[in-house]
Amino acid sequence: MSENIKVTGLNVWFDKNQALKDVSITIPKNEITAVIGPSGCGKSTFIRCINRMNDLVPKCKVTGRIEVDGKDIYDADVDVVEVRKRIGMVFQKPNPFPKSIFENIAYAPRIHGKDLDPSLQGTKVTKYTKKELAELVERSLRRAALWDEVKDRMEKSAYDLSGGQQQRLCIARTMAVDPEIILFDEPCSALDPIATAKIEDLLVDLKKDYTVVIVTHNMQQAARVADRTAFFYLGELIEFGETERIFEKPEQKLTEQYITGRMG
Amino acid sequence: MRRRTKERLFFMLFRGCAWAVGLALLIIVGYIVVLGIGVISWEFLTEFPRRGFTEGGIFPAIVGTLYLMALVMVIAVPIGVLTAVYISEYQGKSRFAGALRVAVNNLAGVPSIVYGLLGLGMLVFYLNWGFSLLASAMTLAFLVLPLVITASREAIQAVPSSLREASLALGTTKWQTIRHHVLPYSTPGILTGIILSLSRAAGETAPILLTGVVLTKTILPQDVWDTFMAMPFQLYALATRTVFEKTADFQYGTALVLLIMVVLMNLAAIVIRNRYREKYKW
Amino acid sequence: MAYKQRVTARRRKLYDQSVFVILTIVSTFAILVLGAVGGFLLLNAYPAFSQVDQWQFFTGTVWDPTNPIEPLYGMLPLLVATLVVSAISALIAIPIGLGATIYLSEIAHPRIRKIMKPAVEVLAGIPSVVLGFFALTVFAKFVWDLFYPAWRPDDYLNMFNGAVFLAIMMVPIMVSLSEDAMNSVPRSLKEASLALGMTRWETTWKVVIPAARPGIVAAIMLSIGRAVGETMVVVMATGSAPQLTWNPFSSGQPITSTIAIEMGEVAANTPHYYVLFELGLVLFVITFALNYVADWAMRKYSERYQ
Repeated sequence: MSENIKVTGLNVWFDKNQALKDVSITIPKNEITAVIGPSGCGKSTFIRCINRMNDLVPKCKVTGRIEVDGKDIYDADVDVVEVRKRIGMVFQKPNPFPKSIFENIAYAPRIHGKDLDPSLQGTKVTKYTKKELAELVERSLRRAALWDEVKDRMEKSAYDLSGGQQQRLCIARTMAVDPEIILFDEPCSALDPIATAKIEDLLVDLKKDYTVVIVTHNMQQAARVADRTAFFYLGELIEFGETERIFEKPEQKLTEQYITGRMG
Repeated sequence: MRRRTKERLFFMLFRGCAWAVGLALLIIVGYIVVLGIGVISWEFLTEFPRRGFTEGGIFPAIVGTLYLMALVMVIAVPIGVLTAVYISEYQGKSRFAGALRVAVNNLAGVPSIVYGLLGLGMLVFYLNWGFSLLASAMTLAFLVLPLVITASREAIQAVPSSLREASLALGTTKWQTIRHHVLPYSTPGILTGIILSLSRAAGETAPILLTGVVLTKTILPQDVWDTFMAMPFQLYALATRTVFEKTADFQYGTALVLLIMVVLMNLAAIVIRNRYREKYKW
Repeated sequence: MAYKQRVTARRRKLYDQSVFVILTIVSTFAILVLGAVGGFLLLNAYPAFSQVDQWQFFTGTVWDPTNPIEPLYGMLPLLVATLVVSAISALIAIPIGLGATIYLSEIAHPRIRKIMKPAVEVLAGIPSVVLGFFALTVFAKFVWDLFYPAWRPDDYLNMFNGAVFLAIMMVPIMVSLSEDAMNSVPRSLKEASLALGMTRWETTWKVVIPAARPGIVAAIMLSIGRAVGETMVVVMATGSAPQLTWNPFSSGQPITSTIAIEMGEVAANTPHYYVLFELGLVLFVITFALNYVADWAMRKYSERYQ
């Protein structure tokens, strides 16, 4: 496996409460890594550190290193905006913009321009043409398996879509920026089983092109989609390994208790 | 059973309170409409007053009030909205933000006559703007500034943070997120606040009384340094300084035109707000 | 490395920072205005501290600034008029405002609420000069003749007259602020009470109102502040006679009226002019205090429900 995200000694405080304690973990490229654990265990906090969304939380302090492709994203010379461009995020509740379906996808590419390729360092941002933008939107929607359902109503408000469709729209929106890593923060917790199944299929399909980290409170979901699973408890990483092994032969007692349902 | 009776009794009392409020509105507005409607004519709206406000119309007072509102808008709206953006999006934990919050809260409670004194002491005399349209407009802008800030802040804070996160997670900067999402989604709410603030400015009398309004003037104000006529002051001056029987028509007419203007603005604000509640259901 | 700043990124960052700087600068305006209010009141009232006997100003019972022989600047008649007018208007507006709020937020049918709430807002929007005009031309005469010949107010224009219309201005403020407070009482609290077999009235009285009390206190303070600071209604409706009396049915001249009426006739930079600014300062301090209490109540409130 080739490593993609390497976390060493990560500590997070919200004001005086320590939410994560000395977490070290290496997440491989082009695999799905699930983060499980009881609520309040710090799993959401953990993935929100990976694209520095916790920067937005007042009184949040982060120490330790998170290296992505060998570069610590908390270094002083790192641009947060650049980090979030390369590391996308899909949230717990679908949060499309109150705009048309097309605008939802086109928004970020229009702002970033074609300068998404890091090799084009320093060159001026070139705008997408109308045609290129339409193609990009279509490509993203197809990739999120949503194109066929929405192609005839691209100008309609995203709020007219069902919850599952909205969530896939959010995934498409993230992919339009062409990230390498996509973080999912309990993406199915607000969805019904059918919509959940569609998203899970999509997740498995996505790992060809992206490194996927998914937080879930649903162990079956982790077992179904993830290559590796990390178990968090009270802000600590208890166990991390291949999903099959974690579920069949957990090494830690806590993990076993959680997996067998003998814990909250 | 006595509990139920007690409940019914109190509820009746409260209903009475609410209807008393409605009734007061109805009587005041109804009375002015009935007595003022006959006065309003094309001539009344488009001509200068003649013969001590017994003939002609209130054109210069209408224009003066409109000028005031335009100037107040130009001054108070950009400052107010930007301050609201700062308070709700950037403040964080800074001392400065705390001071700002306290300042806005206290400004909202400062009496209008005190704003008039500020206008007189600072703008008219200290800065030597003289009694002028600009001094009055600036004074009114001070007065409505906390209203614009508070209304805009509420509208901005009503935008769910999940949308800000969605935008930031796509790699946009804070300002891009504000510019493309937060401001557009809160525009209707901000607009409501602006309209209400301007209607407040249109009806205020005490601040302009001290800073540049006059009862009679034979021409419209030529520039912002000129004195001006305005409807609320005209109503006040006619009602307290002239023989009622002589200028009664002008008083009712002025009151009605002012009332119509202000009520229409209030209704517009209410309509915009209700529409917006339906559009963004979050 | 991809995550390092690029040239465009640096430019973008600069842009973002300049926006922040501009917003910060613009935001200082509000603080400057508050500073200017205090500063210019003090600046212009300052000469009064030496030119006018301050003991007489705060305790004098006669306000006669235009007396050619010996001008008297006793503030008490004005302060008492302000107190009388505000107290009466508060006595009228607080119960009615609360009653109407309870009706609108707890009892009224949604359809009625849909009409009444805009009505209250429109009432809030009516310019005070229009209310003063109505008080002067209609209501004063109504009260004057109401019980005649059995009883008549001492003066045609009197403090009661003004207080009624101040109350009309206060009610919408009371309603909108205390409604916010009552609406933010969690529904679960109400439902719990109803589920225990309390009547709706008992729930409102024993659960909703106590929980909303800080917000209601703030509403009361802010609306009293409005009454103390309101000018046009009292100028037009209370009769302008600076006499020291607690009788609401005689004329009075509150602080605000005094400034509005006399500022137009006084020459700049005379003791009288400075004293009027000192009156403004007194007014500013009173409303500042009321505001402070309201703010304090609200802060306590948000602490409790966090």
